[in-house]
Formats: sequence, structure tokens, C-alpha cells
Amino acid sequence: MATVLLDRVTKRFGRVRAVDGVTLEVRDGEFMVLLGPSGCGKTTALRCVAGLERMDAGRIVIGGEDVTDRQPGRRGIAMVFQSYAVFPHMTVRDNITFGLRIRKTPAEETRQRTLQAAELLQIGELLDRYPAQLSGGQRQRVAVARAIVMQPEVLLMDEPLSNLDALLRLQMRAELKRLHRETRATTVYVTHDQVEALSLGDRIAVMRSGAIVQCDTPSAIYNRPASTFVGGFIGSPPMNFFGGTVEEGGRSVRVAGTVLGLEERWAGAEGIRAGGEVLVGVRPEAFEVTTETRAGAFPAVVVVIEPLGGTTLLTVSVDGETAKVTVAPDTDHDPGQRVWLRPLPDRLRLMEPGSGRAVIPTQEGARR
Amino acid sequence: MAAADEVPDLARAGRPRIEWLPYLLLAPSLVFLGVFFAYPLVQAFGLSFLRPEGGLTAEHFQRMLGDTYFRGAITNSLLLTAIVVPIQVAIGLVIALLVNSRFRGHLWFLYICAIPLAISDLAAGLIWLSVFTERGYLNTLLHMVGAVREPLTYLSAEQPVWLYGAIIAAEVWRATAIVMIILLAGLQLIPRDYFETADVFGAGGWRKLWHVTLPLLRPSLQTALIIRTILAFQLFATVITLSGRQVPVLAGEAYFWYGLYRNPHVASAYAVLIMGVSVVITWVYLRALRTREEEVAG
Ligand SMILES: Nc1ncnc2c1ncn2[C@@H]1O[C@H](COP(=O)(O)OP(=O)(O)OP(=O)(O)O)[C@@H](O)[C@H]1O
Ligand SMILES: [Mg+2]
Repeated sequence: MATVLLDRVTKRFGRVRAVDGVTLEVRDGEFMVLLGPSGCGKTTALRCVAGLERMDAGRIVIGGEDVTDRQPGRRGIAMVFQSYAVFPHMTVRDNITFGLRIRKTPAEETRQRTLQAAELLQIGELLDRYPAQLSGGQRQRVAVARAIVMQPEVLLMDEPLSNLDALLRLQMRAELKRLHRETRATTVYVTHDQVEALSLGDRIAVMRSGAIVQCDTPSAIYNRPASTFVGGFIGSPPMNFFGGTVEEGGRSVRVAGTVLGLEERWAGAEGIRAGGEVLVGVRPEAFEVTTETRAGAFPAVVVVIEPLGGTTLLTVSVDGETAKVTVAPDTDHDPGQRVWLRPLPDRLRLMEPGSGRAVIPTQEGARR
Repeated sequence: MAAADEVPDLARAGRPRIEWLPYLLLAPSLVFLGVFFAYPLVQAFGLSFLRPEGGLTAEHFQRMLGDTYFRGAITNSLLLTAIVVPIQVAIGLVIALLVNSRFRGHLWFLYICAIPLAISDLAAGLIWLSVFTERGYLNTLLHMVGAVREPLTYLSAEQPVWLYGAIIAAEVWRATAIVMIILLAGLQLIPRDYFETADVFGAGGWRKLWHVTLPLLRPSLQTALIIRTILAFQLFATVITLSGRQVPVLAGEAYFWYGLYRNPHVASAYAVLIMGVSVVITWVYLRALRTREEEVAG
């Protein structure tokens, strides 16, 4: 097992800075997810770790050793490609043993490790088949088995579930989580699916335009996004943002003509001045919705009602801006109805309107 | 009432409508192939098995087999093919791999290597003749560096190794490019992920070539081998230019029997023999390099 360090890694393609000075430390045995929109440089960052991409600057350190100048095969890594890249001319068994054969592992050990890996991935019956005789999900398992049979220090995966249908993806997600618990290989996992990231990651590094904008646990990323970008990218539907004005020296904020009381921790925070503009960020599920006015609630008009089974999603209009609110499925609402939304004070975030950066409340600031 | 309504429907269903467009689009190619390949093929078969005055006979084949040049022709054709084709595939593969590695200037290298593609076999023969003939470039060069005083004779029956070497050199130079182009196209069809997987699992250059590149290149290798082998049996102009009839080959004999002895029957027998050998060898290649159904990349 090993730690992985990306140290100020930069990779350019012509004028595009695919990865721009990224520093990221992955702990021993950790499941780290690189998450971000298409083209933000996730794959490139992963390929830098693998040694498949020559970096323009920076170092890669694996298990305390600088591997920047080492070939991919000498870094103690294994990788699962998005396309799986399962060799079509080899049987499943030959695919799985490919790396072991290259390493000249003794036959008996190869046999045992192959059986073990095949069992772990539940593909024991498929060993003599060719990839063309497998389903997409089975091919994906072969690709994972081929990687873990190497007992790698570090396992790299690039969107391994993106070619599977929704149901299979859900199933394989749980399998990968179980697999990680059993192998404990340090894992770097690339995805643009935020649900996958939240469910799999010990920590998530959110990337944007080649840089990491936040790296933290899934719950911290979800509840305390470091910017409007993270709040908007993670969560489905994303975080709502309302323009507001700070009042009473930071003890309250005015949104849609209504005064919302703020918890004490915001008062002394940097960026909070009386009369200053802020963005108030609230997750869709962090509202109390009532049909009568009350203190700390601002008015809104229901526009669309979407029952989603477990919850119901309301699209509402607040002062001409739309927002998304989830409510319990048994509540009665009609389009055009007037409702009042009270953001739960402990779930509310404040962001600077210009930069989109989160305001750090005082206690949290002290905790860091 | 209902039955009466159904009758015309059934009648219509029994007479399927024919889509003419595909046949129309195929027609020009079919006409071309028919006029220039199928018809001569049938004619050659006819000429080789029929008496001029009518009736089947094996006498043209007997004459072919009994001819003094026959043994030499079939030996040379087989030997030249067996030597030239492997060299062409090996060099073609090396060049294709080099170009595909995209080193600096690889496109220029590709263009230069592809030049012989544009040169006819006769012209290629003449170019190499100008190298190996008594007052040719080779002797001039050797004379200049003082290696020889008298010009040497290479292209004569007394120097079979030189004669063969010149033919092989000309053929390799002329027709390796087509092998290279086929293999390069095949290489570029192989997804990069396969090579990178091999890299990640620590396969070095040779193992990557043996375990990944060559197996995935098999369909292209098969195509290149078939094309080159068939064409090697039709080898003719380069040999005639360099050796006259000192190195008889099958296609050359067909030409001499037709043009020199004015006997289209024996010439056709040679043509049929060339075709027979080509068919057998193609079949062998297809069997030996077969891609199993289940291995087809999915
Ligand atoms: N080989 C390449 N040549 C040129 N530009 C490239 C190359 N590979 C990636 N890029 C560019 O680098 C940027 C980052 O690409 P990358 O593949 O890392 O994105 P990604 O985050 O993995 O996206 P996706 O989610 O779509 O896979 C993109 O702008 C892309 O166009
Ligand atoms: Mg990617």
C-alpha cells in the first residue's frame, strides 16, 4: 500500500493547460475521487500519475518515492481504462494473467491469484471465454480483475462505470466499494458523475479548468461547498443561490425583501460587512416550506411540481428567479400557489458574489 | 366479403417488389469485372483445355510440363516468392511501426518510403538495371573507390547469386511500400488504450509487439501477405528487364508462349497454373491466420 502525491503537476496540450499546477495528496488505502465537468483535466491528471503523459512541470511521488521519470510499468500501479481495453485476442484468463505473465510470476501463484481475483469479481465461469462473448458489465469486471490481480500499491480507474447502463452502474458501484474494502489499495478514481463520487469516495477532489477547487470528504463537499461552482456542480438538483444584503452587522441577511436571521458564526467572518452583497446558498432539501407567512421565510410561487417517488421536487419562483425545493411526497401543492420558504439556519451557506468563493464562518475557520 | 378483400392482398404479397437501385449501383463494377476479369478467365480456361479444332484435351498442359523452361520457371517463381514476400513483410512492418511511433519527421519518412508505390514494375526493373548493368552505377561506384579495375558482370547466368540478388533487391524496393501502407493503416486502427494497457502492466517493446501489436494486426498482415504473394506469382517485368530469360518465371513463360511461340493454349495453361497456385496459397493463409469468430473485437 502506498500514498500518492501529485506535486504542482502541470500538463499542457498546445495552449490548453489540461492540468494546471495541481497538488493533491492521497493517503494510504484511501479512495480518492477526481470529480469535475467534461474537459476539466481529470483524465489527464490520472494519466500523469500512471506515467502515460509526460508532464510539463511537477512531480509524482508514490509510496514516498519520486516516480516522475519512471515508466508506467515500474510505478507499482494498475489501471482500468474507460474503454476497458480488454484484449480481444486473449481469453478472459489470459487477460487477467497478462500482467503476471509479464512479471514472470510462478505458474502456481498465477493460478491461485487468478482464481482469487476471478472469484472476487464473480467471473469464475467466464475464464475460458473471449471478450467478444461477454456483456459490457462482464468486460468491465475482467478489466478490474486484470488490475487487482496485480495486487497493486495504487489502483487507477478512469470512469470505469460510464459505459454501463444505469442499473448495472448502481450494482457495480457497490461492488467497487466492497472490493476496495477488501483490497484496501490506494485508489484514484475519475468520474464526472457526482452521485458516484459521493457514494464511493473517502474524499473527493473537485476539479475545474485543470485545477482542484476543493478536496474534502463527501459530506463536507456537499454541505460546505467551497464555491458556487462546487455547490452548483454537486447535488442533484444543485444548490440554490439567492442574492442578499447583509444587515445588522452580519446578524441577518435580506433576501427577497425578507430578513433572515443568521447564526452567530457568520457575524465576524471575512467578507461579511453591513450593507455588503452576498449570495445565500441553500440545498433544495434545506428549506421548511409553509403555505403561510412566518418569521425568517421568504415568499415564492410554485411553478412546476415533479413527484419523484421518494420526494417531490418543486420548481418555485422567488422574486423572478427560479429555485428548486424538495418536499415530502405527501404534501399538497398546486402550480401558482404562494408558499413561504424558510432556509434552515444551520444549512445555509454564504458566498461572495464576485468570486463565488464561500465565506468561512468563524468557528469553522477556527477549526481549520 | 372479408375473404374477397384479402385475395388481392395475398397476391401482392406473393410477388415481392424488387429494389433495383442496389443492382444499378453495382452494375458498372460488375460490367468492368466481367469484361476484364471473368471473360478472360473463362477464355483462358477454355484455351488451356480445348483443342483448336474442338474437344477437351490435356495436351497443352503436357506441353507445358515437358517444356525445358518449365522446371526452372516454377522453381524460380516459388523461390522468389518465398524469399521476397517475407523480406517485404518484415521491412514493411518495421517501417510501419517506425512511422506509427510518430518520431519527429515521421511524415517525411513515410512519403519517401511510399515513392516506389508510384513506379511501374517495368520502370523499377529499368532503374535497377541501370544499377547492376556492366556500365551501371554499382560498377562506376566501385571503380571510383578503386575496388575494381575492370567492370564486373552481375546480370549473367554465371552469377546466379548476383542475378537473383538484383531481382530480389528490385522487387523488395518496388513493392515493400504497399505492405507498409496496409500494415500502417492496420496499426492506426488499433485503439491506443491497448498499447497503454500493455505499458501500465510493464510489457516492454518486444513483448508488446509479440503479445499485443502483432495479434491485433493479424487481419492486416493477412491482407498484405495475400496481396503480395499473389502479385509475386505474377512477377514478370522486373525479372525480364534484369535477366531476360536467364531466370524464367511462370508469368514470363506465359508471355513467351503467347508472344514468341504464338501458342495461346500453352500460355493459358501457364495462366491457369498461376491461378491454381494463388488460390491454394490464399486458402492456406486464410486458414493459418484465421481470426476466430469469438476473437473479433467487440
Ligand atoms: N492528447 C490531447 N491533445 C490535445 N488536447 C488534449 C489531449 N488530451 C486532452 N486534451 C485537452 O485537455 C483538456 C482536459 O482533458 P481531459 O481528457 O483530461 O478531460 P476530462 O476531465 O477527463 O474530461 P471527460 O470527463 O470528458 O473525460 C481538454 O480541454 C482536452 O481537450
Ligand atoms: Mg476523461
